[in-house]
Amino acid sequence: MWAWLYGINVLVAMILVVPLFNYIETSFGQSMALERSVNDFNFSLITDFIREYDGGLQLFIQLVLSLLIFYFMISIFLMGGILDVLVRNPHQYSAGTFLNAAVQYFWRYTRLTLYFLIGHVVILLVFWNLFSSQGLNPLKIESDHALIARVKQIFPLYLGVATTVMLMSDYAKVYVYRMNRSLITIPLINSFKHVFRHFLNAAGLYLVNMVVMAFFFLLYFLARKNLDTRPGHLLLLAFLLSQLYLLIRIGLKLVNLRSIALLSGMWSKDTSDGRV
Amino acid sequence: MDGNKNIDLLSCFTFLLFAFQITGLHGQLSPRIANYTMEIRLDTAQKTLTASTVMSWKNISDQPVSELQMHMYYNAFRSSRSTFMEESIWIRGFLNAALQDDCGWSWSEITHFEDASGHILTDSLEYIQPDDGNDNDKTVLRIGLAEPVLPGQTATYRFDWEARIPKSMVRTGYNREYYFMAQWFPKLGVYEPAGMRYAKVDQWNCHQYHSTGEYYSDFGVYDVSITVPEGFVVGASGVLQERREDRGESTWRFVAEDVIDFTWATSPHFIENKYKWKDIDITLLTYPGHEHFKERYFNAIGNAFEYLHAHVGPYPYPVLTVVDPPIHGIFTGGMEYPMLVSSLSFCFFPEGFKAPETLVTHELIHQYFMQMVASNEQEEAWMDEGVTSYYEARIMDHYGGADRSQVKWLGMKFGNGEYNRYEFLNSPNPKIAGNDRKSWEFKYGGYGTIAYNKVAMALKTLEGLIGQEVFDDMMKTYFERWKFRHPCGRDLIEVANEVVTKHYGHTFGDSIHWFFDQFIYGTEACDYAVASVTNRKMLHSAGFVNDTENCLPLDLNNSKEGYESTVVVHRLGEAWLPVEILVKFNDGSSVLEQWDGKARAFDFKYVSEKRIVSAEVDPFRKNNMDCNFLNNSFIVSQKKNSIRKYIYQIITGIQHAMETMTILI
Repeated sequence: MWAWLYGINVLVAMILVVPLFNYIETSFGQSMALERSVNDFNFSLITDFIREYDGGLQLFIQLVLSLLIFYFMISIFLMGGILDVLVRNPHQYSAGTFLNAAVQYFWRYTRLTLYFLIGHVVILLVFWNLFSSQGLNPLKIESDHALIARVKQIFPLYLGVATTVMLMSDYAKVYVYRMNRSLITIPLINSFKHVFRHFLNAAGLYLVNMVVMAFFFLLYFLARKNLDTRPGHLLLLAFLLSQLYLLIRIGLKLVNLRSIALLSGMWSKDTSDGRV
Repeated sequence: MDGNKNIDLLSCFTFLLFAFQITGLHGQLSPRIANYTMEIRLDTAQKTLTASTVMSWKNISDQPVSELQMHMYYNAFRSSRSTFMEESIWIRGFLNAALQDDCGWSWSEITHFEDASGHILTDSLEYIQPDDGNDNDKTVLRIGLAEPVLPGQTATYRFDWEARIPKSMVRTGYNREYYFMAQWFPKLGVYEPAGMRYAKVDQWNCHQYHSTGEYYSDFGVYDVSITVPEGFVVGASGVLQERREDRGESTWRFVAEDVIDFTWATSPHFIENKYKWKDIDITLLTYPGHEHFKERYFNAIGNAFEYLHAHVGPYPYPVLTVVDPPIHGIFTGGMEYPMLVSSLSFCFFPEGFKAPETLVTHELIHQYFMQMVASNEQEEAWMDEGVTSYYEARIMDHYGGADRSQVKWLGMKFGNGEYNRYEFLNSPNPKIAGNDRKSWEFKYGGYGTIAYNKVAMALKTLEGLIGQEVFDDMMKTYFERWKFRHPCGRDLIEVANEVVTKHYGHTFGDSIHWFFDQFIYGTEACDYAVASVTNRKMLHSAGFVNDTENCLPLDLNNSKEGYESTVVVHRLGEAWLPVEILVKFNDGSSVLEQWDGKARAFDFKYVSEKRIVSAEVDPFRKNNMDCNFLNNSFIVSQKKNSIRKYIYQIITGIQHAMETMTILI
């Protein structure tokens, strides 16, 4: 499944390769600017490119946005199948079962995603209002230090709340799968209840998973930083490194969901009737 | 009664002072045409100024002058219907809040005006609107004189005036306990005799106060005593002569000689930081929490002085005061007045973001272009803003690196010159106007990009064309010839013609007018491109080469040793200028071609054993007016590796972006 998810990511991205190659080749493929800007941030060449080849660039950006949305929808679709594997933990993996689960849960996970997206937007607005409540008009601000102090107070708080919401959305996914109801309200409420009841456990697990993710990110960042891709042959190495990191990210995402499935499974065993 | 006695004593003193100043007994640099002695009292509770002024003015024309014209800048903020406010659409969002909360409007009124003979002229005061006829604009005051000022005569006047200070207005005003008093007092316009600049007849040049373009005034001596509440720190144009404390107030007296304006700032929160560059005493006035910018400011100031001394001329004044306003004084940042400039910094600016350095460098350069070389910013903004922006880029790029002097932060970097080019070319319409109009005539936008950025780019291009040494000779000549005078655009171009011809003869034509016509006053774009590069194997001659009888066969397999190579260059824009083309061959050799750049297309042919590998128009980036650098070069064998690297970067970026998005599921 892991390789499967990675393969889909690669396939979707590959759709862009040919148009991108043609676009670069025809727009400034014969220009020495290509060579000059590829290894260094060249502001003039970048801004000239954006200005002079705007038509093609807009098309390309639209294509990228379409693919991002497409991939996002595919990821929602796959969530049912992923959780089917991770929660049931079958001895043998079956693509048919995977796809059945994906189809069965698609609409539920679409709604769930929508609810949480709305939740994130609301939280963002609340914190923005909190930040701007004392005014953002510079003429009304006593000092720029006050502004920074406000950022320092509010941003970590926002980060904490947003992360908690993400944590809850991961548990909600598992509960939606486990309870298998066409209306997701009850699984959602149950997941919230359980997360709050066992918040320290849930947060601790999430923290561990995030620390592992951050660790791999740091490793990738350091490796990438020290890899000079100017000599042509190292380009392939850099590409492989980024693919490895992507593979690890997808793997860690699955590990996170699996660990949540296990933990929440333990909570349900603790309850008298075994219900989730 | 007491007030009259004070005025009499003041007048005796100032008459003597003027006699001393105007006869030039001590190192006079300028003609000292308009001189002011002012006693100012700041009322921080009422936000008002009360003042008495003694002013002398010399008639330099050969005709008697029967009226004076004065700027009443603070009346620009008298109501929403002044010309300034009508034109300030872009900033109203911010200003409205300040105006509504505290009635931040302002005014300036002369309450008493008399001449040296005792004629009271107060009744003759009349507001006029020479630019737009807007009756609601009261920024220009005409004073009918009882006795005309004769040619060569210096007349003295005394007047009392009051002003309410605007809140948080552009360039000036107060907010909380911060006061930046710029363009604040009733000030004479410039009387231009026929033949001076563009004047066809003797006339006052005294424009209304507009939202763009700042000021134009005559040189003189300012002796200003400012009374503020005790504990307020004052910084001002000029040299501090004395400071007296009396009954909860302190009076600071400054004298500024050979300047065109006087500005001051005060706040009880100012921290004074001192620095000395050669003989110049520099004071940085900053708010608490901004002290860490001290070193950055002083480094930038030292660099700018060093560069300007070497490449333009010496700074003749003994002091410079730099005001770093608090955030609530943001609209007073980035201003230039004689011996006093304002910059701007925020405590969160990282080291790699050079806005404070850029601003202070820019405003310092204005000490030369507009303060000493006192062109008319309202009529020809490019002469000071454009020239200043050019030197700003030159200085910043020289000390900070042409590719990083402006920003070097989070993997992104660009130089000041690069940013100028970006601002100009990426503006909504780089062809919107030429610099052939007054500042307020940029009705549909483009004032900043055309008067500042475009001119900076044009002058950099001129520097590339004639070489930095000749360019410096030109600007040094211009500075020496026109300092403490009022040049117009024509005067700068005349100097350019003279110096370029001296060095190059007629290489660039009979004059270099064509350059200024196209790139300063014109609107056309400039774009050169290498359209194609071909290398064709040479063939033996075929066909009826020698006569009409014998047809020599075409043998494609039997070619000569060698190539016929061609580079075709196109002029895509309307504007032209001489350009260089660097052609490189496969044996490592290269040739630098010269082209006058006038034709729409041109080719360079080579017949030899070597092939062309690349061709590049303007390889040394002399032509900064070229609007597209991407088409300037042509490489015969495409670098597939570079394309691959782009694709790798973009594709992996998109892959990770896709994966990152899934955290929202």
